[in-house]
Amino acid sequence: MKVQRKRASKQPLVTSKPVDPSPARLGKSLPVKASAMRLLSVWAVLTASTLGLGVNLYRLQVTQTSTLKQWAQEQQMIYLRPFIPRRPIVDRNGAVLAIDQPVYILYAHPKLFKVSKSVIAAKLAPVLNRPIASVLKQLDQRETGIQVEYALSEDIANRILDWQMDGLELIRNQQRVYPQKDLAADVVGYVNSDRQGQAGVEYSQQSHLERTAQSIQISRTGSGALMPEQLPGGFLNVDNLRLQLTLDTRLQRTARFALKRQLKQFKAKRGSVIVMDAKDGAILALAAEPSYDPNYFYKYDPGLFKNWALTDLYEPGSTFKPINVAIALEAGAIKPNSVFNDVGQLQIGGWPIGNYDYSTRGSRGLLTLSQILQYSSNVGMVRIVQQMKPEVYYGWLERLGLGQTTGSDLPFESASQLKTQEQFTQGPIEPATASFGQGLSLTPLQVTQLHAALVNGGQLISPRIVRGLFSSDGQLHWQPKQPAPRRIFSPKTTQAVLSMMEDVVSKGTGKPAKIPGYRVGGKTGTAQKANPNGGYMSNAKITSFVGIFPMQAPRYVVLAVIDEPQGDNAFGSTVTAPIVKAVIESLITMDALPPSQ
Amino acid sequence: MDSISRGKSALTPAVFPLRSRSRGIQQLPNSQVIPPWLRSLVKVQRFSSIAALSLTAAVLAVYGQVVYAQHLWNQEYRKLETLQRHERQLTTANEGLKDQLAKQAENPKMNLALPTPANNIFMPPAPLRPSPTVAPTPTQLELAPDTVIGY
Repeated sequence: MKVQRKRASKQPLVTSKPVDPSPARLGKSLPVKASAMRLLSVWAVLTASTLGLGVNLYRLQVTQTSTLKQWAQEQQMIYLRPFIPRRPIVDRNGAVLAIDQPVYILYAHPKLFKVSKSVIAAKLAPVLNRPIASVLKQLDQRETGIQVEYALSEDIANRILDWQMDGLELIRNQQRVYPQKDLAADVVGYVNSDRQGQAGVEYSQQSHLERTAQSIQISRTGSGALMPEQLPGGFLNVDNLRLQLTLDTRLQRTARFALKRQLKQFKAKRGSVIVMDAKDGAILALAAEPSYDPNYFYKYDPGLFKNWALTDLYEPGSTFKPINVAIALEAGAIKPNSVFNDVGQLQIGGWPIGNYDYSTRGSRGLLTLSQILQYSSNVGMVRIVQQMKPEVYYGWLERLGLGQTTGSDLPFESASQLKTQEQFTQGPIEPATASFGQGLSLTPLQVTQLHAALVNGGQLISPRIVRGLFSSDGQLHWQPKQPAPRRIFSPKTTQAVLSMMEDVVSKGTGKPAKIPGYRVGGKTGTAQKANPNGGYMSNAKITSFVGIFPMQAPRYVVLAVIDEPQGDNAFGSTVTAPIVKAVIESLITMDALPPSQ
Repeated sequence: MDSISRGKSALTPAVFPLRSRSRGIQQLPNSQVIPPWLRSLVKVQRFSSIAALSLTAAVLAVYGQVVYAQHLWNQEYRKLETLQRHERQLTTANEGLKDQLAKQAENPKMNLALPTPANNIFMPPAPLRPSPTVAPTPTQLELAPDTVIGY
């Protein structure tokens, strides 16, 4: 109680440390000044620090802004490229023929390794399925930028990423996978390492298959997550359009199987099967052997990459005879009930022309049109064509599209060859040889197209393989433009010719293609191959058979061509007719067509 | 501290000890009247502190939302990528299997043959029959509504 004692000494009551503030003690000047000083000093300190902060703020926001922004961008901004693959190609039932897969290329930069090379090689070797020594050898090549492995699958790449090792870099790439391997290689084609289609549909529809993925600059948070506010609209381009073809893989399998069987049996050089729906020109199957696996296109001879059913010409031989009969009927030169004398052998312009079985059968005498086709009589055909003037006949051949391509949407198609009008009309020999399908060259596809004109009532339709771009729920987004069909025959003519072709199968050379219970029409063809140096090769043949089905409502055309079958029994009826029969049987089963007889 | 204590003591009635009364009464600074500028300043300070607090709370809330939305988006995006990858892998595997099965079927050792029409069975469709009408079943209640059922 110091205060009490001070009172006793009659001194002014001054409390230097007021514990109890309620008794007010009059402050003298000295304490006021001291606390004012303190107040001022506190205020000065606070103001100074605020000013200091202000100066720092100015320094950061105004003077150093560009450098700081650059730092931030380097750390946060990444270029994001979402995986937008090339569009898949599917067949008419949805089976996938070509699809993109992301694959990763593994790069190693040994100068960034934190652990020794042998440790990394030991870790990589089991994952890459290679011996440690080979991996180590690769790592010893350079200090940076070693391509250790390309085409790693996503799972393996994720495993390598999980190790989080410095010096290993994975770059994403795309790879085209063909799950059906060599089944439809001639139609689908392949894609080279630059992702450019080189053959088939991959080449012709490159613009519709390719999709460009724009890399977008987007910033990341510290943990690596993206900040989606800056994404432009439509960034996740999830249109799942697929390119659908008219091809049917089941029919393609059957056709290829039957073709390969006959090729092996007759040791032939190559073969081709085409199945076309004559109503719209849709190609249901197109097989050309020998073929290749587009997954490993680089291992094959580049000569296999062309589809010889489109690029190579051949002389059709007797399969062209129904077309000639149709021309003659349409031109009014003959009537469906005309008869002609088959003498078995003739001389035209100094050249001998005879039936193929003249030596065994001799002359057959008077034959109807149907019988001429049944016995595949060359002499009969010459007589038919002689009823027309050569100029008229030539005009018809041109109208059929000979000398041009079929206008299909498959690439690299060759135009057929026809002699010039001058050459054709010079003497009687050219129309005569053209009457049984020699002297003019067509691609197998064009022969199919001409027969399709007979099947659909006389219209020439361009074959097509692309149905269009469909989404996965079946919506059509784009369809290729088709040239308009051209009428060349009248339905009456085609009906007459089709009934003759039915007789060929039921009574004539086409008997091997007969299917019990069903009506099939067709024509065999066995032609000598033309020698490039002129004339014909004596022992090289090209056999073919064209089948038409079903005869009560004709729809499908099946052409099988086999080049250079060996053996004495190698004719169109023995070599190629069984292929057409197998394909038509498959069609019956697939379409569930009931028997008509 | 001195000013505060003085201010506080200014509000409470001054208690002078009896002895100092003799010294004379000193005029206390009349600090009961707060100058208007100080009053308005205090009001402004109070108002601004409330505003600052509420704005801070709002900022924190919005920031939390933004971060949560980003987190959700990233989660969903990763899910999308995974699903797309699974779809690709499934499709490729499925088609590869189909091709493998077909190639196996072509192997002569499997003793499988191409389908031929001889193996097809065709049945004529049965003639249309009128759908049988359902006779209404008599309900229990129709029989004897008066009798008690149960018990």
